[in-house]
Amino acid sequence: MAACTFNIDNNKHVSELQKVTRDDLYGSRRVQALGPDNKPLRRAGVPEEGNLYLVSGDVGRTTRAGVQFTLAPAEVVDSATGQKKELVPSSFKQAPEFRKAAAEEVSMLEVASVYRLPGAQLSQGALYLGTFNYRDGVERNDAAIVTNGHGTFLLVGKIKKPACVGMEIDSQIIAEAAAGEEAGESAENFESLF
Amino acid sequence: MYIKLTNFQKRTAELFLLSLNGSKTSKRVITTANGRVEPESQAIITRIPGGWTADKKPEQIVEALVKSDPEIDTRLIGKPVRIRSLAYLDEQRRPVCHFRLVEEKLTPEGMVKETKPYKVSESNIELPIQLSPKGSQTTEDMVQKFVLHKIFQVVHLDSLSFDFLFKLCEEIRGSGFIRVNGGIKCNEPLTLRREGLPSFAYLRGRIDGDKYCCTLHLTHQELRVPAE
Repeated sequence: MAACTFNIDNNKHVSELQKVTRDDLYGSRRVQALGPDNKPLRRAGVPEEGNLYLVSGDVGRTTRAGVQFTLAPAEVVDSATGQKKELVPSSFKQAPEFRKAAAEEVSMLEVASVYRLPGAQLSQGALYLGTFNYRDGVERNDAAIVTNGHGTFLLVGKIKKPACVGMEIDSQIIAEAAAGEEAGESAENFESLF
Repeated sequence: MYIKLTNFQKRTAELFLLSLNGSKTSKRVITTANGRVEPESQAIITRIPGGWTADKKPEQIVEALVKSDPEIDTRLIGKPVRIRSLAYLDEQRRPVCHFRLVEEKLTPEGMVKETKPYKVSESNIELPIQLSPKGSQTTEDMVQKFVLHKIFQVVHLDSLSFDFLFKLCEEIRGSGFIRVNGGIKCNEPLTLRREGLPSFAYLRGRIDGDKYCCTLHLTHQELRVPAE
């Protein structure tokens, strides 16, 4: 993976990024359908007409604007104003800035991706906050750099800022909440989660 | 989603888990003759199902390609489709009625470790979830050891649950992250939705005047590198 430069507390650190996933740590699981002869079966989709069995690769996706198909490029605009949004450059092109942060701030980061930074030379226990965008995009992602006994890690996601609630705020908040949301002890066995 | 939370005094209150995902601030648009339109993704058939080369010899394929465009069936290719149901096909692409689902557990190296009949994992938050006296973490330990993949805000539903949560936050505010368990014996990680992954859950509370802020932090990954 390509190397990225990070400005951490006004010091430049260059490191390549090694993605760390749950599957790398604990393994994965998959559900398979077996036929009467115990041979694996192939999953297929049946369209509404019911006359075809479509397997992976039989179907592609195209873009429709109104009733017509189009190859015109889409532009990203602000939902409220309709103004064109500026692209946030990839952090590989523009070195992201990180500042020292407290554990309280880092604990509010909802993490989507974890990368190991083998080239970063930081002291154990150090915590930094900043932003990181793997690719060009329209939204800036928050990120934290955490160093523990296993190495230095870059955690990318979104910082959540829950507000304090008083007695006057009650069911109104709930009504606005999105319908379906996804969903340890220190010595927990994370393998048991499978 | 609604939860029932039992505190250290074994009192239970019904509360609500509020997602902290904000609404999207941007959208994609395409300029057409009728103005700006939000594009929609549409599934179309891009390959003849079953393949037109099936059971043909290479010479027959070459001959067919020279004569016409057999790979482009104008009745099918580019046709919009909407998948309505699911089927399982055998090697000859025939639908199979009698099948069984198995779940395979794979090692990090991709080897099959265990195979067992597939059983849907059910949510375990219909029963009260309970604060555990064991497994609490300081904030520093929490961020150094675990990857927090989801954060919910816990809010009250009525004045009784407001008092319950306010008092709970007052009680735990200096204690970092308090472990929360689910299940009948209250010793299981939380599974918030059907077929969802179980996650270890921690509750954090703080007080600001007559207001409280209670958050539930979920983790299913440690912050470490894979074993060599």
